[in-house]
Amino acid sequence: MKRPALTACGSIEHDAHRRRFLQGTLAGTTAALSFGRMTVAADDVPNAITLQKSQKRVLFIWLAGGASQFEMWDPKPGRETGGPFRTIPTAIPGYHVGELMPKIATQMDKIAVVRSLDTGISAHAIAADLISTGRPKEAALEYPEIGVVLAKELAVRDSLLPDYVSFFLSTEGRRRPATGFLGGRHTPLMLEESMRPANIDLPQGVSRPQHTEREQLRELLSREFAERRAGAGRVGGYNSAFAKVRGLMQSDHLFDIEQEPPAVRERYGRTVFGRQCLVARRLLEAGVPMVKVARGFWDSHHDNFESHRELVPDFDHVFSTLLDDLHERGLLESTLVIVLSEFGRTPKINKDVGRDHYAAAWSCAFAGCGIKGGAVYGKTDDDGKTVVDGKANAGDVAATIYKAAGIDPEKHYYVGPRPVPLAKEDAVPIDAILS
Amino acid sequence: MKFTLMIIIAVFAGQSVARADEKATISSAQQAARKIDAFLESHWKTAEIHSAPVARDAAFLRRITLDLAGRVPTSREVVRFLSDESADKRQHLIERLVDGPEFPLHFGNVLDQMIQGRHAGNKDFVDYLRKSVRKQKSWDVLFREMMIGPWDGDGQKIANRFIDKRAKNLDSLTVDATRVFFGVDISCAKCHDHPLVDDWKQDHFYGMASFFNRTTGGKGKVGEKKDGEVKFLGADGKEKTAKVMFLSGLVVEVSPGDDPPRKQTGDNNKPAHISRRQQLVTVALKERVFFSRSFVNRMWEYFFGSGLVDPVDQIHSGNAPAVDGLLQWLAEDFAASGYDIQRLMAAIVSTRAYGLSSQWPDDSTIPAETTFAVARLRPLTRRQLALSLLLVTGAGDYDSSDDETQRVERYLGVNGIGKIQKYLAFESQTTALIRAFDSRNREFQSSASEALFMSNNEAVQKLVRAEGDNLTARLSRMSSSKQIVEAAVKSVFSRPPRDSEGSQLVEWFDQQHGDRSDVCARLVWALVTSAEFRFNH
Repeated sequence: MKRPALTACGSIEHDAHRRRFLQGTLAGTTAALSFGRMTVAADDVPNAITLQKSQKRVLFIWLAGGASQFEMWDPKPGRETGGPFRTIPTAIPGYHVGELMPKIATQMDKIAVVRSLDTGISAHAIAADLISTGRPKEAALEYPEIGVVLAKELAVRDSLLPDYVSFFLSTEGRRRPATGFLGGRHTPLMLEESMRPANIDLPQGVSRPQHTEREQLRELLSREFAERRAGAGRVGGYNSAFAKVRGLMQSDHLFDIEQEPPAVRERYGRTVFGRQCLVARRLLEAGVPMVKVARGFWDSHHDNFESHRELVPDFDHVFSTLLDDLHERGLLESTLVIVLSEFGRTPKINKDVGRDHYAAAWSCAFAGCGIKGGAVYGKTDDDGKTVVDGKANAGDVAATIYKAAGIDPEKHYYVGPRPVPLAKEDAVPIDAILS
Repeated sequence: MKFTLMIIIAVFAGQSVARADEKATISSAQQAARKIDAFLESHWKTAEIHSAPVARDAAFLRRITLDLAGRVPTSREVVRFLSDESADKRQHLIERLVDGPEFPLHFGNVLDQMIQGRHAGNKDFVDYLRKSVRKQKSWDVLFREMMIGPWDGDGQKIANRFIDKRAKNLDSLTVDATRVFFGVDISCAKCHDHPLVDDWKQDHFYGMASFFNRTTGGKGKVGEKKDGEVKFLGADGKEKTAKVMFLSGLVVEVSPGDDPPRKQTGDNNKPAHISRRQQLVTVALKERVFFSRSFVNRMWEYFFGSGLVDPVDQIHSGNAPAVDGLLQWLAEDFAASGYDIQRLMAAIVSTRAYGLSSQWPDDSTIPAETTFAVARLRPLTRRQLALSLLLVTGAGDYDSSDDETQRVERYLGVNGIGKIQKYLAFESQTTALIRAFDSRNREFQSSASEALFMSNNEAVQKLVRAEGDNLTARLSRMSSSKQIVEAAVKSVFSRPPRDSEGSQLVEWFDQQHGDRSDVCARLVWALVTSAEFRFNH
């Protein structure tokens, strides 16, 4: 695939003019330096496959609203709480999953499941905050989402790509990853309206060379302005945000699944979730360290079984395809895949044949980087009402994620004078599922 | 527009404009300014540093207009100020701005951010604050109104919003009230005595919580129960009943001091029999140092980019102030002035320190920003940026008002209606822009999404494209590139171009190909996205 070169138009005349202007304005050395950086060609963008196979990355699949553990990872067939579905054996002897996940069943040797989450909170917003930051809310300190921390920790220096891309197309339960005390610089590239990011196309009436020249003038004026200013570092930060623009505009092809062979597109399927996961794979492969795909409509207070009959097979197909695809491309070892919700669903089936929110005993799953495939951790009682073995909380999940991605959960950030460990002080990683 | 005008007239008509003592305020502000400068001079002397030179007129005009009116100056204001040759023109400018119609509009928003934090943005609450600033309410009056009312007058009900937004969560009500009004963060003392700050014990956290635990609300109506105590588990694992205790250690006994209890009216918007919040107001104003210090420190942060004690909610014995004695003196002076907000503003911006250049004159080491010996670059708030962007690129004339408005002003005998109208009209266009900009957190960080928005979004392109009588359209009609460059720099940067800069930009302009108005658009884009425009300096 051939991408257009980044140099404005490559004409010698333009280069000469630009150089003259830059030299006239600034001390020669800096100007030459900036000039050199401006002309990085597209092909110099780090090629993920060759350069960064060992780079760690994370795909965070968020089942918004709360997926049912009974219909997926922790079925209780034949019990009053079990529901109508049968169970099927998996690649792991003795472990059965719900019959709606036949493809995942065959891949259980790549997946680790935690069936013993007890996270306490069963209201959407507070629970989502708790699970996605790994901590209860604190009045005076806003914590960043786990994904934001991962993006910061796994970021590739000087990468032209975004550090974090977050899909949340469904409006139900839509949330934006909190950057908390890490600040606005870590705001993910959000995709909420469409599968392409906003503002990455050339504006109307501005050609690519003009766009580049305009930016060069902006950068130059800014750098001149910053000379001998107290706090010029803030100008540096401002300029580096603009320096990302070019790379982001260039990454538009990553969001275009038409560039995948038809067979691959077919394989992921035509559902929105499938297409998003394919884009996610393209991004991860190109070196984006953190991608989140949120899939809504799991909040099944009514007709739980009907809605899971629709949702779980889509998840089963896409998730198993994704694991295969990552594996085939040699990326699974370096890519941590997380499947998480804000909570699970009640053992009790309500009068609307639904299941309500339940945080006292539920499940989540992991695969890939740092994960011991086939590990099935923790246990609930026969009716799935309580955790009988291996109880884990939101902090433990966060610590597990960090450790799997090769990041010390006890590493500290400093907020003013206050040391803040990545995972909550009393969190314990679930070593049994870590490789 | 007509409708807005009617509202403005109503606001004006119902208000007694009492400005008799404004001259006295200014001169006492001048004295305070000199005192502040004396503290700083002696601090610099001890630290063996000298200060940056005084900022040029254009830089000073831009800085203070942004700080007091929330926007960059207009071209006309720039010309008028630069050509004014009187010696005390900066002082006149300060008076004009502090007393001007835009200051309350802008400062209402500043206070909203400061008080409400993540809950900021309620229009009614902002209007309440704007009106309060316009009426020159003092900070203690505002504090009392937000804590205990009265909430029954016209437009007064919304004053309960600080409490109401937090009434359902005692922790956040306690922590936010303590941070915002007293400059202290005691959240770490909830589960144990503060591990890092010796000053704060669990008794302080639960003592402060005891002022709020009877408070009810959350749906627009704030009330207070007659009883209920805060109980907590001490470090020894034993349950304790909290004393009703202020940060100073002062324990409030059952009968409150100066504030006699209001009689019960059955309206639960009125404080209950012996309101704990009422007791807090009484004790906070009696132990005035926490209350006064917090506000002056926050205002110092607003004008200088960091507090005298920084962060501004971390005032405690282990966090030394940047300048010896200054914060304490300012706090005492502010309390002695009757918590006069306008006087405090006038004092701070009248200091020599506020008017220093942000550019260091030579290659020697630049003193640390916390010495306040050099002005620091402060990113514009989202609102300042949006308003300024519309103003400099806009088609509208911000300076003059139409005949009808002028007649109204003459009829009512008040000036500024036209300005208020213009301000509100521009403000109503800022919403979409504000959402796309980075907020100014403690540590400002630029995000790629703001850069993408500025680079490619149609809303920004529309502002810089030649349209109607906007800046780019006016530029494209000019005959020479020299004129164009001069006018563009003057409009966007609020200063004339420097010689070398002017000729370089002319050279750049002449090298550009294509439609003249498109070239003008690109020039304007580069100017409004450059750091010089993005920062206050």
